[in-house]
Amino acid sequence: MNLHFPDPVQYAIPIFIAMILLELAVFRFTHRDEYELRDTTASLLMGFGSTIAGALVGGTIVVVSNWVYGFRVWNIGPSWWAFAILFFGDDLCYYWFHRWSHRSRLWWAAHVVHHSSQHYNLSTALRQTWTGGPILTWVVWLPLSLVGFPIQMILFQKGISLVYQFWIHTSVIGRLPAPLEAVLNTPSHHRVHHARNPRYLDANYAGILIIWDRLFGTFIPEDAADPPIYGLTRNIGSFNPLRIAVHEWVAIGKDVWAAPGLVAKLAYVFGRPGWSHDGSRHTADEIRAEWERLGRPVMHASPS
Amino acid sequence: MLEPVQMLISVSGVALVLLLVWLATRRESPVVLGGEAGARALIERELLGFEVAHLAVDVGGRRALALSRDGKEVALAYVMGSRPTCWRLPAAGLEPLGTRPAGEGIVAVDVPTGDFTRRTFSLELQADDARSLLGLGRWAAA
Repeated sequence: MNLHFPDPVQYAIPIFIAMILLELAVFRFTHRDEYELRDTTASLLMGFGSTIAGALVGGTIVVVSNWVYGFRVWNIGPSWWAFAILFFGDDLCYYWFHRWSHRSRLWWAAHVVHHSSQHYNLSTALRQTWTGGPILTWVVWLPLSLVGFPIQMILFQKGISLVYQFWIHTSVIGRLPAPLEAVLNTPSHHRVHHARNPRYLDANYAGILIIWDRLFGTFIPEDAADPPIYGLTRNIGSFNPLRIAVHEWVAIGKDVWAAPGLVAKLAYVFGRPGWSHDGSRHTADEIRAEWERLGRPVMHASPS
Repeated sequence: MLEPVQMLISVSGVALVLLLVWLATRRESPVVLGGEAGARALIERELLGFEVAHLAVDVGGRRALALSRDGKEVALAYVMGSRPTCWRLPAAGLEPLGTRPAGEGIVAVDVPTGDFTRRTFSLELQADDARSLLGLGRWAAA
């Protein structure tokens, strides 16, 4: 099947830039320091690097997807109903990709980049990984090829999802009307996802539809009494894009080298982020348990 | 891949964004930890269960080092750009590399962190604070 679809991200770039400028103006006039030059520079460079890294592994993804497509169950062409099904299928794949990216350190090492800013603004949306392709995070979408969706349709829908997820990286927009908050991933839901408050850790993995989180028990609503504080439970200490891109890989290497025994070495690679053999570091669940034990203290905004 | 015109739009747009961010933020005062009280509050708020026993704040006000009450942990507080944050490290094996003069009555203390994103945590302290910090038996014995 000879199909060609435009890349939605390419067409959205001027809109991305215009929206960042608009957001910057809003923050300027409301006297909020949500942008920082080195942080924004790092985010944009990570975005550029991610595009290049994606192009380098794109061929492999297409070849493997086409190979899987050879075993397809149905022949699905580009029709309205096919795109409707693909919309839900892609979004479900995204949910599981995203959930596993937070719960397995191997994939977290790639995804941590996106959470490494302490700022939450539209430039943060562009802070993307350089290393997701080589560790096969794209295999989550292969079932769609097996079902019978051509790779061109899948890539188009993934582009739509990526464009959608740009605008939710903002604190300018409060909450949308309740019916939309019930169904869609919104700025409010995604602020929770980027927060490092113990209350909010490991929640709201949605791409476009928040229904998956509600369905699989990972939804946490934003609580005005505990405003999100952004970044990592242990923030990085650099704006250098190369260090941002590989810091967790270096940490894994050090941990594996120093770990006592094969089980611990494997756990440092495939276990939960934050796991340690000697209890010196903590997983999200352990942090939340400690937070509960201490009476659920609220994490106020840091002083300035 | 991007077409040449799209590439031009992207690069120009990024340059414009960075220029406007610079213009919008260049006059902002540097964020500081808020003295001893601010640093203590930050550490105890961000690091669950960490009780500060001894605290030394850098003369610039953007970095601080604290020892926990049980002597087992060290907190490093610092401002990353415009956002304060903290690290929690085991005190065992965390020894200052040494000190060096950094001005009249000021001593710089370098602490190796073992972290790829910030290998050394440097504090410029009043000489008395530095002596007090380095002389703490609990840290030395940890």
